[in-house]
Amino acid sequence: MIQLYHVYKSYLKGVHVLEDVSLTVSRGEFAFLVGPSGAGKTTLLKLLFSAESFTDGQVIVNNYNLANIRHKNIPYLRRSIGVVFQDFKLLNNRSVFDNVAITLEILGAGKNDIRRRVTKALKQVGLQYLEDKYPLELSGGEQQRVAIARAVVNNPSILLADEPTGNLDPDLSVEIMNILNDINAMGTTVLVATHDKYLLGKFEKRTIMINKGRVSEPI
Amino acid sequence: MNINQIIYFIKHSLSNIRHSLLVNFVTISTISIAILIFSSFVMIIFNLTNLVSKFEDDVHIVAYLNDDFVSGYENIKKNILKLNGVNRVRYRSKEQALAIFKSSLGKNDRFLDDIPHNPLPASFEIRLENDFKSKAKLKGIASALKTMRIFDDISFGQEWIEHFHNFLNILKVIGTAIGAGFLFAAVFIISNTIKLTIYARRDEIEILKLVGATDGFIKAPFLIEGIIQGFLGAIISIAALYVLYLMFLAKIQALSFVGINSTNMPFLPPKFLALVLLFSVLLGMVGSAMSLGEIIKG
Repeated sequence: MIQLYHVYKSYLKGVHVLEDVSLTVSRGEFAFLVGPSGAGKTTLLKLLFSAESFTDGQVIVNNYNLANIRHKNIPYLRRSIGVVFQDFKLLNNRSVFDNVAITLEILGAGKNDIRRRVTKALKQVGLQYLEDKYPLELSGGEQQRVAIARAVVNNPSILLADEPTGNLDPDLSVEIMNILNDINAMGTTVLVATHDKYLLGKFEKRTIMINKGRVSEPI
Repeated sequence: MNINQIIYFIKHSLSNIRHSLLVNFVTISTISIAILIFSSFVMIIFNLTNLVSKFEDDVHIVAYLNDDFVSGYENIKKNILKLNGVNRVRYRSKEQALAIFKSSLGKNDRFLDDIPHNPLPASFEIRLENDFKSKAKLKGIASALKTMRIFDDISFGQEWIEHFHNFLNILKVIGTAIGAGFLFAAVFIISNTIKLTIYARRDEIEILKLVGATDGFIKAPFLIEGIIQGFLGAIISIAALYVLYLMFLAKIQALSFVGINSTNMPFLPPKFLALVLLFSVLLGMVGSAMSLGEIIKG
């Protein structure tokens, strides 16, 4: 559950990156956050897992009030959210398996548990046969899927994806969106930031428009 | 924290060390040198303190009897025993004094034959209660003996022990200053090693943060790395100290007249070694902790 009330974000005084943003994404919903480059999509996503602070307003994510969340609680908020980053953020010196396992290692999961759940997540994104490879040995689409597997391996209640198809050709983009759709079908709230109009036509989902830091929804 | 996390921490701190072997080698060497110098001073001071307390146990007064007194020793002895703080009194006659002197001369005692009469005075060796071995108390007893007006001279060995104490204190100050300087350098170097490691692993740290790792989880491997550095540094320095100690003993035992051996100049006792180890581990932790603020930033 994501709720924003009159949220403002500015880096310079008077210059708003986000301006009076109010929106709600309900539990189990799938929504696109759509807008041109520089519209504020990434900033908005970053607010939701406390990687950015906001200047004014209220943000509530999974019952955490981010306006006054304590530093020590931020890790627990993040554990309830899976994030697929635009630049993947994979560790090139770790295998695919180990990249996905990071999310479980921080929770103190046992070796067998990690093996079982990572294998399941890699299967979900169709990469189980690549678990011993390193990120630089993979294509862009495969790296993207590793990033998704890492984001979902801990069964988060929310999945945020920032331009998950940004660098991919249309066929691969559809493949990735199908994976996200499947994850949503299992009950995870999914919010995907994109500027890919082709996908919007192909997947009929709720669309939240963002432009120059202001949010609107087509009626 | 559970056992899986502890395994993770140790695995990753060892991997940190493995990935920057040279930097860790320099760090551990610095710790070893710092701890070696520090523990050398501890050992020297420990042994000298032992030595001086043995001498202090041996502190006694010798009162040399005026040659006019040729009898009544038992009465004099009784009177001395009445003095406050006196434990035991032993009379040594002129003849006994000469015999002891002769035996100390060994083969060279012949010249004594040419001396017409025994020049050595009779004396009383006065042993004291433990509480009466300070300079002030010794002086009190000596002046009480003087009032008897039967002694030519009264000597006690406290003077040089006091000098020795002063020397020991200077040594402690020098040891502390040099030790502190090296320890400061060690902390500085450890903290910089850890900074380098943190820098090399900044991507990993960022990702760990983003997927929900706590500060403690991110910091723990670096703290453990510091602890391992401190531990290895201590082990190496203790081993080096022991080798140096054995070499010193071998050299000094060759000079038989000095009479030093492993009994009267022992190596640091286990309690001290444990303290050195603990101290070094703390040093590693502190050095590492000093850099970990960087992780919280950003």
